Amino acid sequence: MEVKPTQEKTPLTGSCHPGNCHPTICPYCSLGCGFYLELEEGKAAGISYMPEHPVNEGSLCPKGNTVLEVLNHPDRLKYPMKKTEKGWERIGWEAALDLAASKLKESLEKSGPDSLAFLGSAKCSNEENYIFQKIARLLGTNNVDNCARLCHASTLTGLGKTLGTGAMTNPVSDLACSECIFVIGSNFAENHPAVSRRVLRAKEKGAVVIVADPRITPTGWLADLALRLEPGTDVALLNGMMRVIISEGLFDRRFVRERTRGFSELEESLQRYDPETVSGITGIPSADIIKAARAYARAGTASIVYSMGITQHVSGTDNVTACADLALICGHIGKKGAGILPLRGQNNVQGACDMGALAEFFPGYGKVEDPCAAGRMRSLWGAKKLSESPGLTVTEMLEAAGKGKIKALYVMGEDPVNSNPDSSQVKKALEKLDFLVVQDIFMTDTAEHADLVLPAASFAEKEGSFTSTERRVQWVEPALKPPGEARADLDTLFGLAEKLGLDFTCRDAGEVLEEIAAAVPAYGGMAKERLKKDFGLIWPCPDPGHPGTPVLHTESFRTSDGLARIVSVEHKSPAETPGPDYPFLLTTGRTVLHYNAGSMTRRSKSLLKKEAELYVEINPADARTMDIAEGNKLFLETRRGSTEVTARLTEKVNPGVLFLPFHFPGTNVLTADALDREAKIPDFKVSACRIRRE
Amino acid sequence: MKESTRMLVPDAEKCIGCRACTTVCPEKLISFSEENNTRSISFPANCSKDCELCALACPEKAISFIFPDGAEKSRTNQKSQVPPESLTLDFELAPCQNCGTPFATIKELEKVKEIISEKVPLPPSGSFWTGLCPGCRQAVFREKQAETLIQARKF
Amino acid sequence: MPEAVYADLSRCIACHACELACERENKSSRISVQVVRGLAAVPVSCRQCETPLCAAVCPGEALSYGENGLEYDAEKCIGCRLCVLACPFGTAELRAGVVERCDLCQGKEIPACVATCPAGALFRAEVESLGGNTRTRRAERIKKALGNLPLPACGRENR
Repeated sequence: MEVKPTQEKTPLTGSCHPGNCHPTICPYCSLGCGFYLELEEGKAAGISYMPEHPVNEGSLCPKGNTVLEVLNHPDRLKYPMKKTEKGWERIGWEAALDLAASKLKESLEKSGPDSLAFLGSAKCSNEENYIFQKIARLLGTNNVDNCARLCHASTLTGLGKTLGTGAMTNPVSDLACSECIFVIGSNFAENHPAVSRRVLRAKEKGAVVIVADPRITPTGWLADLALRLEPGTDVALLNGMMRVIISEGLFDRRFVRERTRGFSELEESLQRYDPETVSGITGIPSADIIKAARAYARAGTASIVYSMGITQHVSGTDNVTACADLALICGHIGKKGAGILPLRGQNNVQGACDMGALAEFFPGYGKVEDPCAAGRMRSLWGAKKLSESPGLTVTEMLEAAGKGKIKALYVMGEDPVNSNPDSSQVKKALEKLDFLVVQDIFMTDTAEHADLVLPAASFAEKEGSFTSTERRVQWVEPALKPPGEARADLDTLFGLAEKLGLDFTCRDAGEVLEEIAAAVPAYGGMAKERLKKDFGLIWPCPDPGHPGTPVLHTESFRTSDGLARIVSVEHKSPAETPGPDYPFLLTTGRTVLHYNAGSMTRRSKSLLKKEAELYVEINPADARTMDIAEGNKLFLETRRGSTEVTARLTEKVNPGVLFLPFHFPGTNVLTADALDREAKIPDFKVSACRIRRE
Repeated sequence: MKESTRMLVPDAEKCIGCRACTTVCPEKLISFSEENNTRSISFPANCSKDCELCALACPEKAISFIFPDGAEKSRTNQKSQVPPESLTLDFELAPCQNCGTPFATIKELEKVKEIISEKVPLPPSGSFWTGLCPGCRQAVFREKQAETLIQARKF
Repeated sequence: MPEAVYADLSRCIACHACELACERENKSSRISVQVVRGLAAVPVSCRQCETPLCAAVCPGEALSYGENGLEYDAEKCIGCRLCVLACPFGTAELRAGVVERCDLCQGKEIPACVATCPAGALFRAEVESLGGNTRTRRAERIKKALGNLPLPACGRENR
């Protein structure tokens, strides 16, 4: 009897039926997977799968599967609270909003608009982020940013300078049509699990999968060719591949000639990146570099998939630029199955950026220094004046707070104590502020430092649009009421704006979206009713009749002349490398069971059961030398601080390398705040570290 | 013809230490503990509950009752010894041949092996797994399943 | 026809979604994923054996084999755990006096694990007879020997 799969009928599983079943979008990562919440007596009681969703096709990763534990958690913030000598004191909403507004106004009047800073949320909706940055800007400052700064800021700069726009060029489903998939610095099997299904589909059709990562991860298991490079050497690898491609004549001459500029400078600059030299820098055998280059260039369609592994470096912008160069010289861009896919982190980090919750951009990516863009915003908002100097980014904000230059900080749905590098400096900076208000669903480690905490509604308790990594804008309707007196962030912001004397005509998310459609050209054709159908729209969608744009750059790039720019970059060392005092290279990343700073997944009972504490991956050879056994408690130390961890011996990391997941407090106590010059993203991926036994 | 109290008589020879009785007793009168390599099952001297669940449940029919008037109520015709007080039976736990964790009494495993060899046709490898705890049985199965794939993935 | 949940190991990415979905739908997880030597992940759950050893040792007929495969009647279960000790795959567990093992999410259209697997590694199929493994392995060998077959046109979804 042969094993053959029986036909699955689907669709709904569980006890879901149209009466109690509520469609929603997962709040965790940026894939924007759809599923149904099963409701019972006004509470979320179950989950049903959504096979018809174009991205996840009914599947759901372990985080999405346990989202009920977070929704119903007793720690959910229910009431506004003020910090007093005696601890947290519950206050009413009116008093809370009055307090927030008066403190902001106080700082504004005493020290000017740039003494204020606003940290927007890559987890909140487009409408919420739009209103948030509008408040900041109408108060006169561009000190508004979001955690995208910490993850894909280098995508915005790198792809921005080469392709004209920093967004994923093809939808996730296109991967199934790629004949070669080059994965660099992405562990999608753990962090974007639904991407695996398309990659596996491509493999069934004979696609070649190449994975470049210092560690062997489950993503690496799917590889036909694994390139285990030394952390921080991505430019060398990419340049090495490009040199092979150019010297063997495998590049796309016509594409280069007709659609790009800068090729000859690149060719010139690649002279010293011969396979042997690159092998020396990266640690990858030169034969593999050549094999990878040929496989990518020769494929009819090829995709580059990347994520934090290349963005979170001082060379982050250069790493991304080199990826774009590689795609451009081979013409693997602008068609189905061929493109560049930066897998973003948060469920709405793309949206938060599109909405201008960024220090240097207005909604729609007009630069704040551009008089045209500023003028446009001024007339749209009826504002007399808007600041035209770029504001402080999230890392700079905290630094300025530490120096007393920022007096009041408004944080919406972010946890910089755990997400930013150098946690002890962040805590000191927060303590120096005159006023800190945090709006969130849980008392995060950042909220503990606040003067005022405002309880927020979760994804299932409010309406709004969210933009996934593939530029898909989806609308979510509330399934539940928020607990206690928690409010949708949008309602809180409307209340705050009123207290600040700002005159907003919008009354709900749908109306805000109408304003967004006028402010952001790519969202021009978006409206609530359109988004509720057919799983949303993929931007650019410039007008109401436009069907959306799954694949970018098909005809021209978003540069002034429509041509892409090939920009040569050089390999440079990370800010910190191992030395005699700190002999190990510490790199950080994610694991499948937890999510980012962990404020949600570390409250999820079943996830905690499987992964309860901070561990370090150490190569068994190193462990042997230092007499470390599995499960031993160790102290990891860097120039920033010290953290206790549990040892996990594994060949996943090479000797000399240590890996820490950042889902537990303590990892970012160690990381360096050295920043990429252009993107200002911290070098999370490389720190010099040492081990201390007790 | 149920009496109000009777003495509980476990047969030390027959009992395999499976502790099914501890699960079914509605009053939790029978208890067990495990320490080092021994499982100890403690039977109360008597019970007043009007049920025979422990006796019914016992796969070895090792529990019988003695009533105050001396009339024995037992499943078999053999006379059992009358225990004066509560009785604790100790059973040696077998350590898992892979990880060393004690996971079952030797008598339980013997019983399982006996039934399997009687009732089920086994492959040539026999019932080697009975010496392994369930977790290690899974691990052995996994190793076998993943062997070819691991070889293919070794870069 | 009795069916079981099978795993295509070349697809399993050790994400544990199946375990968590199972736990949510069934009070405790009947499937367990572990990584073997850092290079492969194997989900294990009840094999729905055609000659089930658990049913053979069950003293109270709580576990029996019928036309739909293995059946469990909790009413008859005495909690002796002999089935747990008999299972060669270690996939049965006794919790709160009840035997927990995969029953393909009784009554549901798709088992939760199969529906949720992001990599599409799990599927439900008719139980393979003893020796089915040999058959699958032979099929793999033949596939490799014959090399790559012509590819279907892009745009048609396979699985």
